[in-house]
Amino acid sequence: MPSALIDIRDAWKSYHLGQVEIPAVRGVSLTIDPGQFVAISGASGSGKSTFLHLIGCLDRLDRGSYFFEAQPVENLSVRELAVLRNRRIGFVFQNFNLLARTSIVDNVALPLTYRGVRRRQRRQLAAQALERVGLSDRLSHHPNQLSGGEQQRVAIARALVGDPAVLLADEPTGNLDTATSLEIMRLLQATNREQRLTIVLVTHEPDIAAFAHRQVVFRDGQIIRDTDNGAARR
Amino acid sequence: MAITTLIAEAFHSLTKNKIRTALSVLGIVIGVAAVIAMAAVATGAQRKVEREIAAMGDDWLMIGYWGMQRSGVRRQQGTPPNLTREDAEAIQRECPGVRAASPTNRISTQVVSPFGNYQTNLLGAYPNFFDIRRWKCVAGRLFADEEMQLQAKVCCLGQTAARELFGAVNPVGHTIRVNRVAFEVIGLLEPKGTGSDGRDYDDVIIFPFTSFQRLIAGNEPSATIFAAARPGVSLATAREQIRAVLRQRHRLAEDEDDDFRIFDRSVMAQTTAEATRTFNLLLTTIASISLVVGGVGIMNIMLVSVTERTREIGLRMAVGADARHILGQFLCEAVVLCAMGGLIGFAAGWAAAQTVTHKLGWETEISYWMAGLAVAFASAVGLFFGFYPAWRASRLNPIDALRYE
Repeated sequence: MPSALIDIRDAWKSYHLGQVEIPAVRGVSLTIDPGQFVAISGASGSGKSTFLHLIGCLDRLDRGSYFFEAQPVENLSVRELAVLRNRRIGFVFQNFNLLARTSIVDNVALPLTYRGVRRRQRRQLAAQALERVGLSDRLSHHPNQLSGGEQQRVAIARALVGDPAVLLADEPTGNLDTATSLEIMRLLQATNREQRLTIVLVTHEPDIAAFAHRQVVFRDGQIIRDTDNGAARR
Repeated sequence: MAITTLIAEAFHSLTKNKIRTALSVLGIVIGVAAVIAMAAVATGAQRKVEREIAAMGDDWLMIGYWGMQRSGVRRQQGTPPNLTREDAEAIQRECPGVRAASPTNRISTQVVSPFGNYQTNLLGAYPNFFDIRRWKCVAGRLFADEEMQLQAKVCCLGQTAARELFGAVNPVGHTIRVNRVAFEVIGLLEPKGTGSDGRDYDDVIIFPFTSFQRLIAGNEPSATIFAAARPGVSLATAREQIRAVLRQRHRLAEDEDDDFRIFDRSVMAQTTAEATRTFNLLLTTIASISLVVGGVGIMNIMLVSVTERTREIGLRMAVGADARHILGQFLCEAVVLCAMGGLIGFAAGWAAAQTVTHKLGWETEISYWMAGLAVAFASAVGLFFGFYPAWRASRLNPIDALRYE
């Protein structure tokens, strides 16, 4: 049995607003194996986004333990976490977060600059990633010349360019219309299937969540339901 | 991340918004341009003075009283000290390092020519004065010992005096009148130009000392003695010898100061050097102030930039940039911005100096190492004032940054 990719045990995370402490994640445990497509859903304020940030090593657990690829994450320094994110984790955000006035090939190549990859090779790898998402004819365009769906595809290419172990998406279809949303979800599904890439996706829309194999539902900082439906919606 | 990548990214960032980049760097550009232009004018002036000092000839000295009170301190009889023609002759005779010495006397008065009149400087001197000052004539001849002995009524005109009194006509052979006494012009002197003190050396008429004393100025003691060092003798040596002779002649005790001053090219050079030092200090101070102002402007713009790019910083951290990278990125942008400003400022300063030369006629000189210095200083300003904003950026929390509106 291959070891779990993501193994979180009894995670706690609170926010501090002045004097008040607001617990966002309350004693959550979750294991995700390689190749799984997981959707985390729940109402706004349920702690799902905070939990995703913890998985993505953007934030530290207040309490509990987190093993990523069987390595404990709590002891890693800020710098080591950055390296981990760079090499093993890809992010996709609701508002795309592309660099304006920068060509999409340079956008996609960004994570590679933090790895010290040389310019020519960076652009090559970026071009390949863009081809996989079907944008190889728009390499020198800037984000403002692309539609929302195309921008999100660029963001996906950027998340994948470094060959990560897991792709984390925070409401990736939140700013897209229905048709484009379906397009994006199909792309993610295909990536998961063909490249055996683990995907963890946060959404509040049940239609979108249905694309995943596994549904994890959050409420008030805890998981209230974790179902694996095996055959995902086409 | 390699330095070249950092710099390339900095350039890319800066060219994304050209107008903002241009405005932020304006302070630095103006500061550097002003300093470069001022330095060019100062260097040009300095070179001009150095050239004049060099052109003056290496080896003559002046002995006189500038800036001293004529009544001496602790004189037994109360008579003012003075330099006589005998002093000059003694110097020539008794100083082995001196090849010639001439007393001179000077007044300023009206001179009348057939074509008009003009107020100019009249100088009485020994014939060896021309040799001491290395002053040749371009027409006619210089007066000699004979004319001195005869107290002849002859004179030599400087270029400016000649032009004012005779226009384009060759003055040699004509007559001028001073105090109704007629003098024949026997020579026209070569141009000597303007001194660093602003005096026009060509605005002069030179008479034999004896003629001058008898017919023009009376028996006033000499105002200034001119002396020339022998070839191979240093000015310092000649100076000391003259000093010794004069102190002895003036019966000065060991502990008494000189009652005269000896002035030569090295003194002038020293004075110029001191003036230059003072000016450079002033320049450096102004430069520092203007660059500080420019630097504060840079810091402000960088702080705004960091705030505007908060989401971008969050994104960069999410894909693997750590605090070091972010700090380096923004610091690099500030330094590149300022270095560019230094370079543009240098070019603008150069252009300003050229304009000054063409419009005002002042000499200017730009050394190209000034460009390096401008860029280096400007970059240092960028490093210093860019640090705080870059540090602020590196301290951002990625999650909060990503959520920033």
